[in-house]
Amino acid sequence: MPEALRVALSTDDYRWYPFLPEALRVVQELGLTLEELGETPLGLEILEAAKSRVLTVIESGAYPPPSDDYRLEVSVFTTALLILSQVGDRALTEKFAVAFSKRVFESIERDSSKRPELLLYLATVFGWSFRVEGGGVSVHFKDYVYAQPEFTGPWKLVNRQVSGGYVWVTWREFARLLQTGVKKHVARLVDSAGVDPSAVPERLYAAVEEVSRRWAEARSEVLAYARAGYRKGDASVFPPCIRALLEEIQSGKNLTHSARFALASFLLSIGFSVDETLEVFKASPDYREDLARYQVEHIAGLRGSRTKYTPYKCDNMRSLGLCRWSCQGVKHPLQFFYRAVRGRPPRVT
Amino acid sequence: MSLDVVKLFKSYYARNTVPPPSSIERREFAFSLFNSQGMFRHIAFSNGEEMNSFLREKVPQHAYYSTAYYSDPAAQDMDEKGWLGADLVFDIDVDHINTPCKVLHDTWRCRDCGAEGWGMVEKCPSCGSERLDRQTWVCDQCISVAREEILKLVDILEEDFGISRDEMYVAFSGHRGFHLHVENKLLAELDQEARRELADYVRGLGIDPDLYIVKARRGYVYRFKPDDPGWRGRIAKLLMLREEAGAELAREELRRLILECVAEARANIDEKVTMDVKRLIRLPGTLHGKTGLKVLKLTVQQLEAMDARSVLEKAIALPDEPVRVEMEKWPKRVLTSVFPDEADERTLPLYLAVYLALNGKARILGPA
Ligand SMILES: [Zn+2]
Ligand SMILES: [Zn+2]
Repeated sequence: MPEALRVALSTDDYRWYPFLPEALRVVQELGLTLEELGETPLGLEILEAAKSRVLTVIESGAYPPPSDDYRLEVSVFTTALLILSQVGDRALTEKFAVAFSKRVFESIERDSSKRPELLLYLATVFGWSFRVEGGGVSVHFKDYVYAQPEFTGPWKLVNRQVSGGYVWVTWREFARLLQTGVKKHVARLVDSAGVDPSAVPERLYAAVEEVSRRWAEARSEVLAYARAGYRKGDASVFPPCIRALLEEIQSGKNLTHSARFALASFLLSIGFSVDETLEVFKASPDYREDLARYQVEHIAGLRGSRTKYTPYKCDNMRSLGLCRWSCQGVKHPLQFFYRAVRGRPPRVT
Repeated sequence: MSLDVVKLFKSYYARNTVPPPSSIERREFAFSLFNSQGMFRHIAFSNGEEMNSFLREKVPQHAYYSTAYYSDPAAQDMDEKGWLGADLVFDIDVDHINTPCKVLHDTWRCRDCGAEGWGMVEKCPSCGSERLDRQTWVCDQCISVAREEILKLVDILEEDFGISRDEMYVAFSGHRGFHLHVENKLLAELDQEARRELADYVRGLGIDPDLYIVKARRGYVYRFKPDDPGWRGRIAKLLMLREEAGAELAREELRRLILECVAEARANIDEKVTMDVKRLIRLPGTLHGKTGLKVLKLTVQQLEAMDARSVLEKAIALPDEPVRVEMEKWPKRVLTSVFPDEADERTLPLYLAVYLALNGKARILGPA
């Protein structure tokens, strides 16, 4: 990172990039305390706006454009992070971060031709190593793989120009890497936004509850549908790899460890309870209730690290030999499922 | 004379000091002991002396340390260890590489139809069963193949990833291959996903030949030059050695050629080891309990300067006094020795007899 690089940030930038350290400082200058969030008129306005941001993301998957007042915008953004951190659901944080990063990408793209230094500045904020060369940007491979949007085709590292530890990308591609950078940065901000729950004022707590409830509802509709389908013996909303595992287990075959993990984590992710998941595994000849329960509870995040395991991506399924299909436009078995549930099952070849 | 391996191992640890791994106080250690089931894990040492007195006292059959760094390496629960990062590690094992020497030392026998033969087979060639009893051995040719793979890997890590040799070390595993360790603060943070991408890279996995070719007038040509960086130039260099690649080719033909070059240049690593950020790996300087050979730590420069035979010779840690050995099915080639003729009984150096007994069904009859 060249020392000479300076970027002139305007207050307008804070509206579009509210996660920048300079923008966050604005909120500090405002001196708004946690208590005021629930009491003063301004505090209440911010809280309402932040709640509605998160609810919009839950309902539409899109993050609305910023308001005109940069102070308000940054405060709303940080308050939304606070709400997410109190809700404490990784999947919701991820959904919010994805929606937000997509919106930021629009402004990154807009700025990429006129103000490339702004893009470089974002990369500096994320702590990336890079250098501008050859009409594009060379990014350290560590940062490239961190922000890589896809793990196949032209994005796959093995198909890139890699030299001396750096991966060369065009400015357009650099903007796309930054989008992932924004997503992960926001998720990290949520993780570090922890506030002692006892210090959370009543009004903020009410907002957290409302968001949690709406999020649970949004998910449960999908889940109820899938569970009903499975009970009726209709597994058509499941991707072919998961269907194959179900068939194997129903025909009395023992699954390998990774196959069991893939199946259990998938079922748990779409909302099967631990008991419902165990029910599926009972057909297996080597089934042992105690052991299976332990494993499934571990995957569900009820034991050990208490992190809920997300199912393997398609890439992982393939390299583990658990998938030999190709589902159009799908990178994750859960993606297949959610689309199929909405009546748009991907094409399988 | 019954074989007292424990005594031999004990005397090895009494006479030798095992160098401690870097940041020893952040590593987890694990051991399996002779005459005892299972693995003793979650062991931590604050320094090399502690580690060595443990080795001298317990005389482990196998010794491992974590590639990961932990804030509390002795914590029983993996989640309480406090993962701080992990070395980037690559494993090359000829176990899954069909080396040309396997027909000289590996044998299989089908449990279903009783057919048997030499070499490496995935399933029984006469009945198709996968239930095979295998006897596998390692020889200098195997190690030579593994050494080549490591040197290809080092080249990719240096050239493409800019990783310095000073941050790498190689370990002969004491059995069928090598480990390559990269100790670099920044790379220690890489998560599993990132490590998979690096593993795929060195394996040449996921190369899309269509991104490497371009339409010419009457067919397709390769897009890149030999001095282009990364896989682009690596493939170009190998294509130059192939006459057919000089002309414009049909798309399929060129795609096939490219993938052949990739297969030649790739480093044949076991990706599972690279992806695992909580891996236990053999501790250099200790003995491998299935071979009696030493896990041998080498710099890249040392490995370059040695051939496979000298690697094996340097890994010999047990005495070489002659003993008489009896075995039914002798490999024709094993470690640095060749046995062209059939025999029931031979006189061999003790270290070789120990390997044959630990890894197979040899019986040591007594001193020669
Ligand atoms: Zn057979
Ligand atoms: Zn061999």
